[in-house]
Order: sequence, then C-alpha cells, then structure tokens
Amino acid sequence: MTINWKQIGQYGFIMGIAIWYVCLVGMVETFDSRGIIDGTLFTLGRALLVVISLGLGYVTAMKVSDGNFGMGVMGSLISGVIGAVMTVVLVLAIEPLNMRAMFVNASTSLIEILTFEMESQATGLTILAAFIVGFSVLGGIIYLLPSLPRRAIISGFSAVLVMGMLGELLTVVLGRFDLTEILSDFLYGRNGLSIPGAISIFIFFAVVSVLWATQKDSLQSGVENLPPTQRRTLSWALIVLSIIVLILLPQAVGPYISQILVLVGLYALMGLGLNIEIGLAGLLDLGFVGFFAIGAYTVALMTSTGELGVSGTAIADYSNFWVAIPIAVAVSAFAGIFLGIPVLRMRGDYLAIVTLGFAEIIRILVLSDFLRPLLGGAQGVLNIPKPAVAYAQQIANQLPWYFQTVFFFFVSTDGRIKDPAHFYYIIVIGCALISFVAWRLQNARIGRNWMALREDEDVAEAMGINLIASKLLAFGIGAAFAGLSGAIFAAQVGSVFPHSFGLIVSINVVSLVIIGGSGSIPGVIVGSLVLVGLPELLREFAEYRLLIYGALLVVMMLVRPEGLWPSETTRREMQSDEDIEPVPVGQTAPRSV
Amino acid sequence: MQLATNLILYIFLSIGVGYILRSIKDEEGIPKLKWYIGGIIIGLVCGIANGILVSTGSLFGAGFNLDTVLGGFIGGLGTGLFIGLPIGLITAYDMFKRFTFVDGWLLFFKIIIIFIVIGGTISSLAVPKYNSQQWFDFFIFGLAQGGIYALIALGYTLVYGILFMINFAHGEIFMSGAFTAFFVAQSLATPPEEGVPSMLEANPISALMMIFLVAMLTSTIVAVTVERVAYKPLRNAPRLVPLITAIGASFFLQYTFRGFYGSGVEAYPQVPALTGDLVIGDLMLFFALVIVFGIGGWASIFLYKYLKKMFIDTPNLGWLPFMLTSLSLLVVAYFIVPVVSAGLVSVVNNAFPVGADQEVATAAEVAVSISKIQFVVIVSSIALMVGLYYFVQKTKIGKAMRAVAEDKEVAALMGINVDQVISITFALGAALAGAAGVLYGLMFRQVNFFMGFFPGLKAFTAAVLGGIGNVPGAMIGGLFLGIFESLGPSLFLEGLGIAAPYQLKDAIAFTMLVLVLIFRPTGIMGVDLSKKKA
Amino acid sequence: MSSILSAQGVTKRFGGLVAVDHVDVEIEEKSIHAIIGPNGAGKTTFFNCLTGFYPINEGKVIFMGEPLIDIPPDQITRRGISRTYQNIRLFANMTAIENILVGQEPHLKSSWIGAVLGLPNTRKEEEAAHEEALRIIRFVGMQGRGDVIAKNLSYGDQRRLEIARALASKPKLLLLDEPTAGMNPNETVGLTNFIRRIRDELGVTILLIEHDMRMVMGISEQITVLDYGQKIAEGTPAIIQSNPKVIEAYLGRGATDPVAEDTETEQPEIPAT
Repeated sequence: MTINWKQIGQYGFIMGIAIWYVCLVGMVETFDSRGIIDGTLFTLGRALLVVISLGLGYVTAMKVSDGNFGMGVMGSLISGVIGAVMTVVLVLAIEPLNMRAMFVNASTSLIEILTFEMESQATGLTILAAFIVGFSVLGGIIYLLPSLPRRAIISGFSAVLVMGMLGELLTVVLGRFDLTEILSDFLYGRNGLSIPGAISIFIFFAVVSVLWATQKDSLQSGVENLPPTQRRTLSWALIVLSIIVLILLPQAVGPYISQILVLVGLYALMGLGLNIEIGLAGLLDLGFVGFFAIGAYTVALMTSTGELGVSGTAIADYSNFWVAIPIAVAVSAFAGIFLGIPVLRMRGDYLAIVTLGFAEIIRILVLSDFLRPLLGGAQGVLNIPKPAVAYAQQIANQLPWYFQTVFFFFVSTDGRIKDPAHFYYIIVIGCALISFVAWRLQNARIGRNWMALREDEDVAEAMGINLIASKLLAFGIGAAFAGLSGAIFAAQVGSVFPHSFGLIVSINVVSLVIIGGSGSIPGVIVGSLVLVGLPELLREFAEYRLLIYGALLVVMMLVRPEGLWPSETTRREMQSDEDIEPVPVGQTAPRSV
Repeated sequence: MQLATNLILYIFLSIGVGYILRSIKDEEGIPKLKWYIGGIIIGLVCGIANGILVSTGSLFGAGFNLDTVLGGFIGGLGTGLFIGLPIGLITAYDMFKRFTFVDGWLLFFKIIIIFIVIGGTISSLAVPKYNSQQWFDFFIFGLAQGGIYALIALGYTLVYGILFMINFAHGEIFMSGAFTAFFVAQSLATPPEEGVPSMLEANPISALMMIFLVAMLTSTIVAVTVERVAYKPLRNAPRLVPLITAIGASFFLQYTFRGFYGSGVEAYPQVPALTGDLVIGDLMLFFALVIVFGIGGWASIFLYKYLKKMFIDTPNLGWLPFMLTSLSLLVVAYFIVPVVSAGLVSVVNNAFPVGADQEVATAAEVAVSISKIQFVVIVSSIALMVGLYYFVQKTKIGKAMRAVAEDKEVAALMGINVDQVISITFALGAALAGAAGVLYGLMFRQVNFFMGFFPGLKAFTAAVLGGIGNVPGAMIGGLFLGIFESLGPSLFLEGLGIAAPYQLKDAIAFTMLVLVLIFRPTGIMGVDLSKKKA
Repeated sequence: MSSILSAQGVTKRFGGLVAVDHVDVEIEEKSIHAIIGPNGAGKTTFFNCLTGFYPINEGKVIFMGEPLIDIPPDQITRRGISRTYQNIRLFANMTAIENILVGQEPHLKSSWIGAVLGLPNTRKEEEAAHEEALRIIRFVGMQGRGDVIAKNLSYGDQRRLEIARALASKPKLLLLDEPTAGMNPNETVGLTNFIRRIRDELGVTILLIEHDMRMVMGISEQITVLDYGQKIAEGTPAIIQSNPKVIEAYLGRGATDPVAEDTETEQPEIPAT
C-alpha cells in the first residue's frame, strides 16, 4: 500500500493557510475575548484553531486512510505537523518582518494568544505546535472510530461550542425566569460554560444524538402505522402546539430576541414576495428593496407627525397606521407593475441589472436635494407614531383576566403597539396571511403559468399564456408583499431614512430565497432565520458577521445548491438527467404541489 | 411648475396627434402615412403649439405689442421644434406599428427622457454657467473614469462570455489589487532617509511598474483562487446558484481585506511626476509624436525591407539595415515633430479661441489643459483595452477562449483544456481589474476595503450597457457611462432648475442603462447571450 | 370543404435575408396538409409566422375568415391554432399532467383572486381541468405516466406529450413540426396512425412539416413544397412526386436519375436542430 504524500501535504498546507488566515484577518484575536469554557484557556479564538486542525485532521484521515487505522492516524499526524510548522513560522515572522505595517492584526496580543500567554516564547510555541498536532491527530482518530461513537463525539463537541458561543445570550434569556436561572447558573460561569456545565452538555447531546440515530426509524414507522384519524389528531395537535409556542415565544425570550424575530419576519415577508418573482416566475429581481422603500415611505408620509407628514392637512384625522397599510401595499403593487412594464421584454441578467438600477434610482432620488421638500432627503421622515389600537383599554376591561393577560401580549396598556413583541405578533400574522396567499397562488392556475413561464417563455406564450399579464401580476404581488414589510418596518422603527434601503437589502433577500430553497414557502422562512437571525445573534462580532455570511453563502451553494428546504420543482431542476432513474411504466412518481 | 406644464403639453400633443395620424388608413387597413412624415407633422404641431403658448403668454403679460407676440411666437416655435421633432419621430415610429398599452407606457417614458435631455441641454447651454474649459474638463474626467469602468467591465464581460455568470465578486478583485498595491506604493513613496528622494520621485516609471505588477498579481491570485474554490464545482448548476456564490464571495473578500488591512481609508501617495496639468502644447506634442511615429514607423517598414534586400549579400553588415532605418526615422522625426506640433497647436487655438484679443499663442498661454494624471489614466486604459482586444482576437489562447465561449463541449473535443482556459479568462479579467485599481488609486487618491463595490456595480452596468459578453461592447459601455456620468448632471439637469444635480449622477447612469435596454434589449453591441443559454 | 386557413403572400425578412417569400397556402378544413422542403427552406419560419411568434413583413394570414394581423401568439392560440416544436420543448421540470394543464390555458377562466379565496367555482374548474388532462393522457396512450416529470419520459412519450399539450387547447388547426424526427420506422408508423386518429376522432385540421418522405406521402392529402422561402410546388402526393422542380430542389440540378429519387424517399434527411 502506498502512502498518498501529495494529499497529506495538501491538507497540511490548507491547514496552515487556514490558520494564517484566521490569525491575520483578526478573528483569533477578536474572538478570544469570548470564553467557551470558563477558567480555562479554551476561548473562542483558540476554538478556531481547534476546529481547523480537528477538521483537517479528520479530512486527511478520510482521504488517505483507505480503511487502514495506522495510515489514517499517520496522515493526520503529518498534516498536523505541517500545519503546526506553518503556524510557528507565522508567529516567528510577525515581529522581524514588521508585518503590522500591512496586516493590522499581526499584533503582539495575537502572539500572546498563540503562545498561550507563556513567559518564554519557546515554551509557548511548543505548546502551540503540540496543540495543533494533537487536535489534528484527534480529528483523524475521530474519523476512524465506528459511526456511533463518532456521531456522539461530534455532536457533543459541536453542542459545547455552540452553547459556549451563545453563552451571553442564553444567560440573559434563561435569567428571565427563576427556574431557568438555576439551570443557567449551573451551565455558565463568568466567561463561558462552567466545567461541569460543559461536561453535562457534552454528555447530554452525545446521548441524544445516539438515541436519535438508533431510534429514528422506529419512531417514524410508529407514526406511519397509526390509524388515519389518530394521525390527523396528531397533526392538529402539532399545529395547535406550534401556535401556542409562537404566541408565547416573545414573552419567553425577551425584547432583544423579539427584536431579532421582528427583523427575521420583515425579511421573510420580503422573501415571500420575491419568491413569487424568482422562485415561481423566474424573474431575477435585484431591486426588490425599492418596493420595501415605497411601502415604508408611504406609511411614513401618511402618518408622520413631523413636518413632512399629513398632520397639518385635512386628511390628518382619517390617516393612521391601519389606513396607511392597505394604501402602502396598493402603492407598492402599483409601483411593481409600473416598473415591471419596461422590463417585460428583458430576460435573465439584463432584467437583474435593470431592476437593480431602478432600486438605485429610487434610492438616489429619495436621497437627493431635488426631492428633499417632499421626502426629506438624507434626514428622512421622522416622528412616525406607533400604531394605536382604538378602545384597547375598554376591550381589555370586558375580558376575563386570563384573556386580558394574553390581550396585553399584543398591545401595551396604553393601547399602542410599540414593543418588539407587539410587532412580532403583527408580523407573524402578516407572514401567516402572506404565506397562505402565496401557497394558494402557487397551486392555482396562475402558479402553473408562472412555472411554465420560468421553464420556457416562448412556449408558454404559444400555449396561450398572456405573458404581460402573468409577469405583471408576479411583479405586482411580489411588490405588494415587500410594501407590507416596508410599512410595518416604518411603523416599528419610527423613522425612515434612505440609507435603510441600500442594495444590500435586495442582495440579502435574494440570498435568503435561494438559500432557503427557491420556490418554497417554508424555505423562505428557514432562509430568513438562517441568514438574518443567526448573524444578529453574533452581533458583537459585527466586523466578521458579513465575512461569515459570505462564507456561508458559498459553502451552502457548494454543498446544498437546492437550498435548505427546496420545493419539488427546484429539487428536480438540481438533479442532472443522469441521476434520475426513469420511472417504470405504470408506477407514478409523487405528485408535485 | 413650468417644467411640468411643458412636459404635459408635449406628451398630450404628441400622443394625441400621433393617434389621429395613425387612424388614417386606406381601404385595406394599411396606414397611408410613413412614420417619418407623421413624425414631422407631430413635431410641427408641437412647435406651433409651443409658439402660440409663448406668444400668448407675453400677450397677457404685457399689453398688446405685435413685436413681442411675433418674437415670442418665433422663439417658442424654435424651441418647440427642437424638442417636438425628435419626440414626434419617436412617437410616430412607435405608434404606427402594433401598439399595445405596454408600448404606450414605454413611449411615455421615452418622451419624458427626450424632453429632459433636449430641453435640459438647450436651457443649460443657454445659461453660460460653465465655459468651454470646464466642459472639456468634465469630458476628460468622464473619459478617465470611463476608462477605469471599462477595464473593470472587461472582467465581467470576459467571464460572462464564457460561463454565463455574473461574477459579482469582481469589484472586490479590483479592490484587492488596489489595496495591496497601496502598501507597495506607500513604501516606495517614503524616502529611505532624510533628503534622499524616494523611489517614486527618483524613478517614477519603474516604481509605477512595480505598483501595477503587484496589483495585477494580487488580483489575479485572488480571482483564480475564488474561481477554483467557489465557482468551478458549480459549472453545470442552474445560473442562480453561481450568482449567489459570487455574492457570498464578494462579501467574504470585502471583509477579509477589511480584516487584513483594517477599515480605515488610506491615502494613495501622489506621484510627483504626474501632478499638475498638461497644457495644450504638451498635449499636441504628444499627438504629434504619435502621428509622426505612427506614419514614420509604417513607412520605415518599407525602408527596412528595402535595405535588408540590399545588404543580403553581406552577412557581416546584417545589423546595418535596422540601425539605418531607426536613425533615419529619428532624424525625420526630429525635424517634423515640432512642425506638426506647432501646426496642431495653431489649429486647436483657432478652433477654440480663448479670447478675442488673444493671438495664436505659445503653448503655455493657452487655457485648455488636461490633468496629467487623468491623461495617463486615459492613455493607459485605452492601451490595455487595445492590448486585450488583440490578445483575444489574435493569440492562440484568445482563440481558445472564444472557442470555449462558443461551445464548451465542442471546444473540449477539439483538444482545448476548458478548465485552463476558464482560469486564464478569470486571470486576464482580474489583471485588468488590478491595473484599473491602481489607476483608480492614482486618480481618486484613496483606497479602502469598500472601494470595490460601487465601481464594480458601475462597471457591471457598463458591461450590460455595451452588451454583456462582448469585449468591444464593454469598452464602449464603460467610456459611455463615464462620460455621461460626468457630463450629464450639468448638461441635462442644471438647466431644468434641479437643485444639486451632481447628486443625481448615479441616477443618470442607471437611467441611461434602463433607456438603452428598452431601446435595445441586448445592449449597444450585444447579441442575446442570456437567450442563447436558455 | 372550405379553407380553414389561408396565407396570402406571407413574407418574412431577417435583415437582408428573405426567409419566407410571398408564400400562398390554402388549408382545407379537416385535411392533413404537409409542408416539405430541404433544410433551411423556411418551413419552421413559416410556422412561426402563422403562430404570431414572428410578426410578418408583408401579406396576411386569414384564419376562419378573420385576419391575424398584429395579434400576439397567445391570442392566436386562443383562436384555435396550436403547435409542437421540432426539438421537443416541454416544460421539462413539470409533470406530464401539469404540462397538459398549461396547454388548457385558453379554456380556463378562473382568476387568481378566486384561487386565493378558494372560491367554489375556481375549485370546480381546477377539478374539471384535471379530469380533462387525464382524459387527454388516456387519449394519447400515456396512462399511468401522468405524474412523471416530463424530462424523465422516454423520447416517444415526450413527442406524444407535446402533441397532447397542443391538443389540450382544443385547437381547430394543429401545427406539427417534424413529429417523427428521431423515431425508428416502427414508431413512425405508430405516430402516423395516431395523427390520423386525431384528425378523424377530434376533427382537427393538421398542418405538418416532415422530412420522412414515406410518411408524408402516406398521410397527407395536400403537400406544399418550399425552397429558399418560396413555394415551388403544391398538390397531392402523386403530383408532387413527379414534379421535376421538387426533385431538383431536393437533389440538386441535374439529378434526374430515378434511382437517386428513390434513395431520397428511402432515407429521410437528418433534421436540423
């Protein structure tokens, strides 16, 4: 048996480059402030080194072992040594080469972190090298274990990492109630997990993953074997349970996470709109934020008590949030159709760049001095009042106390919708409504026509589909959804500025639609949770948020191009022809929706 | 308000009259009028209506006076015709064919744009706010900026031509080169010790070469790495997938370089040799050199051939023909260049007289001047573009690239290494972007990690404008965009009384894009590649 | 018998190239009419002119007594002309049933608002459309394959499905662009019978482009021959077979050898795609 030196060297080299990268880009240093396990040197910064060496050790073993234990361990050992040498070289090179002049993060504190805060550099470097090589070999060994223990170790380890990373957030959330505070006190120390906490989390998740792996099949078949009536009951129970969870969620997690959920919801609303354009009708729209802006500005101008609002005019008495919302939606839909007309004949990338151009034109016009008297220029529109619910107190007084409590989940006691939690409910209702509409449209004649349009425009037209009407409807409905999102956004923030409507929002929405799974409604929700929610949780590492976001997009597309929760059609599209077994005559494939 | 009234007049009149003219048909249902005749009629109607409005305006304003009325009418008729004729022609051209409500909306849009462009230009030029030197400056600035856009746009277009993907990360590739080369430029600009001139001062050409080399190299490495890691595995995926990957790569690169080099704005060092202006004399000297050496070089080929034939029997004098040719070329150039230069100066001076009492002057006194740095940017970007064009058209690799763009499978069957060609394409586009990065740094004198975003977007716009996938198209699109952006605000919007028109320059760029694509959905020079793949 | 479609002097130019040059064709109701001609003769372009995909430069098309001038393709389909394509153009990622449902588009009336509100009319119409789609699937002999994704169907089935999709719009005139391209002789015979059945059972007039001479001569009642965009001959199969101009167009000048003619009818040309 020959040793694959080339591959071992390659992975060792990649390990070294990766470590160089995370050091020089500053992640090691910044992340070092966050401890994973309290009281040890195991910080998030060093955890990066662990993940890299462990991961590449694992991959090396996977590629070279060929089922041979010794070979795998040796491969990961050698690649670990290469990685360690490269890291040591970096540490030694920083000062003599004055790398600081170019790389701002090549600082002495980085050296300190890498040498484990040891007095003598030699000792530190020895520990560093041993650390990297050790974890690389560990990675190799983990790969070579049988699948169950491997699974257990990986899930336990990842759980410790994630729980440690989210430590601050979880302590705040858990600290809201006495009972959960005890748990939080047990799990967390001052900076990161406590040692008993870390051990118990590791064991807990390891056991759960093993249980899941062994019991999953029997559970599934158990559910499938239930009689239909019971299954229906079960699914209803699940729906009711999820509604209760949705209602109680903001109360449980507190204002900070509620705010994040609001943001997720706003993006999900936009995503549902864009999903109709991209996912169903295949119209790549990179200017979606324009309609969001139109919705927001409509509500802002109609309800603001500032000088740009209607407060001084005759219609002021009749204009409030609830009146403004349908108007904002209508205006956005109209704008969608209006701007859709000139791009009807454009396809693909031309459409993308023109819609992008429209959104930029809208933003620039709003920002300009030219329209300042109308739209406020860069200062935006301020003083947008929070939506009020008329007679809230009176209604509440009519209710029994337990309903009253629930009632005041939705509105504050002064009858206004102002906390993130209140907006959370509005958005959840909005999302539910919009998802329902989108779902109905998708399964109707118009949805089918959109799909045909996406597949082949010329043929679709030759089949009698009115291209103009279908496309404009897609533009209009998509824009309407975005307008709704913008309207809620304006009321929630209380002011609108042109800077909130940059291209980045459009890019975010396109990404979440594709990452979630183009054409799929649950996909959009999952996509916005992952792409909007997760980054918000790591707000303190704001500098690296978009870096990780970018890397995530690339990795997702390489690993799972059809998205997290793809629709049936997208899944089909991603399969190349060879992958598909022709279905034998007489059998039927599952019907698509 | 007056603007709006005027606009409404043109819209209603042209569409209304157009509709009436359109309905004049013979028994067979074929229109009797040709579209251009209809257009002229509409233009005349618009002009007369405008004249009447202007003259009656003065009639009601200040008592009855035939002169005012007549003068107002004629003035109104003139401007009316200027704006009305183009509008009329376009209206008739559109309306005399199949005319749906979609066409109607587009027509409406076109009328507004024509009104703004022509009306704005007339009124901007009528108010002499800028002198010809300033217009010239706008133009040159636009050209320089456009050159940079064009160089970046070439990267988009090359990649699109082969892979049909929008390489969204291309702006970041441009940034990576410019930002990395900044550190080289900085170290070259610092004097080794007190009193000693820095490398950039003492030896600007080789210093600049080094800066360019580093920038192009960095960009190339980044681009090829991105291609290998992020795009290559997705060759056969549906087109949205690589787009998202590219967006991800763009974010990743942006924040990687922010992490590496920090988030501050760094000031590019000034190149002492390139500060100041190039006055018209220097400029004409340059053109004279180009002309004389161009013609002389071409002529001396024959001389060289002739001499070579003469000395063919004497091998030990084989070096002589080349020497003689070069020498005679230099001698001729020495005598002719000053003459040509002086002639050019006097021609230019006569064409653009600076003042009534100024005679044909020595070079230094003439007012028209170009900033040296902009001049260098223009010349080097055009040189790079021409170089690229010949590379793609003439070399073996260029031909392989075109073959792969045409049909990957067939190219592979012909023995072309498709992966390698694609990598080379990325490298080529990136090298140009790196060079553009340095030019950008020299011209705008600042770099930061976010600098790639907007130039990238503009360059992409330029590529689409020219017809994406088309190499000359990207060049023309870039130059067009640069010039429009720089001239547009003062030319179209200033006269219409729009406040702070310069803020709207990006809007002009995008409006022009939308307009071009409405008139010609495949860009100025493009064929419909997006259709080809579908 | 009256003519269902009459093309009068139809001309289509692309720049300087005249792809279809003053072509007059009369198609009898409930007939099977074929258009033949060498590759690049403008047959498919002529189809595209009839279906409104290309606006014609000169001449007019009269369908059931009404001129089709400046009418977009979807409206023409609604009036009763439906077509298939030379290189199969199904909606590849949709199921067979869904393809046929799209084909029924001209007869569906429900609006999207009805779909959102779940109105009973909309639901009823959708159910009826599904029934109809299943009926068409049975008619073309694809029972049990309705839920298969179009791109996974066998080649012959894809051809059938394309015809089924065209039939779903209940056309009066069906245009078939090389329906037997890429089929073996057995399949061709099957398809020929199937086309006859469409005409006989559904009463649909059929206009087809075809290269397989044996099939054309066997099935069609009238044949029009195009060459370089011009009509060079017209008539029954017997007349066409003996027309020297046709033989010349197919085999080049001077090829009057009867053997050569025979080979031509034996071996269909490979269709250009």
